[in-house]
Amino acid sequence: MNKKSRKAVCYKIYPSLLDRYQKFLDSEIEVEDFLNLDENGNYKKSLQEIAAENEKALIDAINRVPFVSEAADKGTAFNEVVDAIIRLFAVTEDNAILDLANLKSKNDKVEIQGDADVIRATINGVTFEYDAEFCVDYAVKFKDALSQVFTEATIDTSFGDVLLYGFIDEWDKDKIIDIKTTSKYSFPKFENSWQKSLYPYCITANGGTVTSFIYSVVAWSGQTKAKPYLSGTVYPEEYTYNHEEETKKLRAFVEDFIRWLNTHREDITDKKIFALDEEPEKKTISVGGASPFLISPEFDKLPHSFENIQSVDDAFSQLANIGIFGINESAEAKRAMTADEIKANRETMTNLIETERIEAVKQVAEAVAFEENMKAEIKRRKEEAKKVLDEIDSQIMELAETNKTNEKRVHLAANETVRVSVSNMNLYYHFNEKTHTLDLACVMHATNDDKSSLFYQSEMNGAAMKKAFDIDDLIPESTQKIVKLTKSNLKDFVGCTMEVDPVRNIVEDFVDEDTGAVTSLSRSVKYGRQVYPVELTMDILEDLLSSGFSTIIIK
Amino acid sequence: MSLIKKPSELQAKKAIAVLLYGQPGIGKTTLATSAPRPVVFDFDGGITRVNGAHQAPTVQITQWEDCTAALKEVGDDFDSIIIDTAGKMLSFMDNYIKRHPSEYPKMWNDNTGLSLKGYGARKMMFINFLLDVQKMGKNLIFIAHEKEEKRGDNTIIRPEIGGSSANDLMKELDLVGYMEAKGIRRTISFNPCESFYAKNTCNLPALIEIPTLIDAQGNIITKDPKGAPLANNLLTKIIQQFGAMQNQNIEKTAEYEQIIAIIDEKIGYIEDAKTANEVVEEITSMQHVYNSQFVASNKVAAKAKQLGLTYNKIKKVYE
Repeated sequence: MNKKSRKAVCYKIYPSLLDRYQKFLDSEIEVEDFLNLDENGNYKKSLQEIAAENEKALIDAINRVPFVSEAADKGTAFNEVVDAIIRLFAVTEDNAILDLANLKSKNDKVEIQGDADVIRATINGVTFEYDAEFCVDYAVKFKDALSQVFTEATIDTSFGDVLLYGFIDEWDKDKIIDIKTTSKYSFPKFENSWQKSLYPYCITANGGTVTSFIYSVVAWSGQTKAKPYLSGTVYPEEYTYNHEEETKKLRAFVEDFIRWLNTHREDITDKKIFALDEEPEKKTISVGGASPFLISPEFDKLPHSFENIQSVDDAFSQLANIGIFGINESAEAKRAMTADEIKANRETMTNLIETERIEAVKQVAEAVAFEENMKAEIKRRKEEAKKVLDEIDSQIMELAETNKTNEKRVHLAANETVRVSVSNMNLYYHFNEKTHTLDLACVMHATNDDKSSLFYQSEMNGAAMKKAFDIDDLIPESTQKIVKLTKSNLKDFVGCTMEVDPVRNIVEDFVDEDTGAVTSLSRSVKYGRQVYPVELTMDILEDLLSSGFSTIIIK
Repeated sequence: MSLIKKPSELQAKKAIAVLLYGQPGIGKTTLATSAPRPVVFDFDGGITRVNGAHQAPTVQITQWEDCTAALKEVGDDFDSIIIDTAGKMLSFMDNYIKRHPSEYPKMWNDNTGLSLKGYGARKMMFINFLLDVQKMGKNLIFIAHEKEEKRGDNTIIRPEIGGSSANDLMKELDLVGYMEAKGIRRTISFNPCESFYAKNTCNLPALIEIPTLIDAQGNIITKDPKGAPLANNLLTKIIQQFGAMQNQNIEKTAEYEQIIAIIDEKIGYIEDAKTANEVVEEITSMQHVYNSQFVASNKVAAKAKQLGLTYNKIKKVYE
């Protein structure tokens, strides 16, 4: 049926969703159903389990998650067979025999082949064989009806206008018929279905008349040798339609459903239900006797009518005065240009992001390489120092042995210091008169790759001379290290030097405006607020932490 | 004359099938006896509770055979057969199956009652009974007690009819009315609502007040408060309205068929965009019945497609 022009809507709802929501609300009833009781009378599933299942099914339906159901396919195929027969009636002369070989499906998913005895319908790779006589007897009741009628209408609610829409199976004069199939029927099976309210509401809102809604239910019979093809018993379940009462009920239920929807927005990926699938409404501007022009919504604030317009040129001139140029022929071009601009902007943004990402990746790689180099350097220095210490140890031992055994022993006066050169070290021995010990002051020299000297000095007691030095006590783990900032440890790093610009990873979701697809893009960003190296102050440390740069490399 | 008739050529249904259900003692049997020339098939002894003034000729059923025999006697003296009650009638069928094991083998078990096959047999008996009465052209008034079903926190009222026979009965019914007492008022509603099912196929008022025919002392009331004569004839009036509505529907259907014929004729003239637009204008200005405007719209669209015309949605014309 023809669509009437309608106001912008906040939600778009079709009846199956209301039925799914009703089923979710009725979870408590489902728990009590005998099908949910085992042989001992205990519940097979708890209320929480059933409610969770029903809620998931509802969310899946909103998100249009595909599902496979042979029962549903059997019903869909039957519906298509009925429609195909109705179409065949329309092109068959009165009193002529209906040639079921000419049945054609209009649904791409269903293939139909018929003959005098059986109509085969294939859907999702499964073929159902329907008894031809049963199908024709069933369809003939609707041969004058309008089939598969799309209808829509808005209903005003406390959440704004809501679009209700869907396809009516059959619309015969003042009755709407929905074809249902089931393996087991018990009256009244569709008492809580919302199709019986929603479809008549839409038709009535569009100026039609509906007196009742009929669920024409086919309850499938068992197949036997005598009746090998699918047939069944038809139970019409009729509901009188009262527009005023049903509108109130429908509005209240739709509002209840929207309340639920709004608390589950994060679960809903198909945004059509929130009416986010439409372009912004285009406004028209009327200029005197000139043609209306389509303009963008942003021109809303501008005056929509002009007085004393003499000609179209005059109209353009006045429009130009308020900053709107080339509205006429270029109105489409303007929108096209805007689209191009958006496209260009998107490309620029993508390039910028990519450049930044490459730079950040490079920095991370550099930091990692630096860390590796530092580790190697520390290891090398440790080994070198160990070698030196071993040599010292050995020479000291040798010296001590010499002093003890030959006349070249060194005589030290009280408080006198003697320097002994060993390898690249100078050893300063000092006789302590008070303690009568020989103290050793040891100064080691070592150089790193850039030739700057590192000095480590330690006072050692003569009694400990023979002990191997613990090199780790002498040389720190590293001169540069990666630290994790927390609120409580910031003060520990005041005064330290930060040589590298810190980097952090962020993940952003980008929405493709054409397809609605969401892509998560990970990129690295630099702190970049200082000239490096920088001596860390409390202000810088706090800024780093609050900006998300919690890992830094310090010296 | 052809045996195949258009909807407008169909004869109005001579007889009607009605179900009345409600609370015990609310007056279901009395209301049922207000049908035209009734005979009561009394399966549960309900007729004895009806005031003598409103009692009707009655068959006191003691076994199913009484029912089948009485049906043959109904003849032309009666227009309406009252089944009091539907649930009890099914019990008599159960009993018949039990007593005739040779006719219904393995369909009854003394401990568990009807077998699955037995329920199937009873269903067929019930369907055959409905067919027999329909053939007789009599109004069929079923009476049923009400039963309550819990739906979460809500209570739903249903007619008490056994098993799947309810499915078979419901699909044959033209009217289903629920009777309830609201204070001293008694009402019957043929419009469905959240708490009970009803069926209204002849545009009856949403709520009909059942007249009080007997006062608190048990005396018959013959005049209403306005002084108009009062009789036990509400169901007769309702059945008359049903008949009138059927005739009205047939007339309206004839009008519909006429309009569709005119539309078909006009569509036959469409040859190009110009004639298509003219026909659209003419069809739009016609007085339509039911969904004829939408049917016309479909037919024009099909014809336009056939001619390769396109519809300009902005100008709202075929091009």
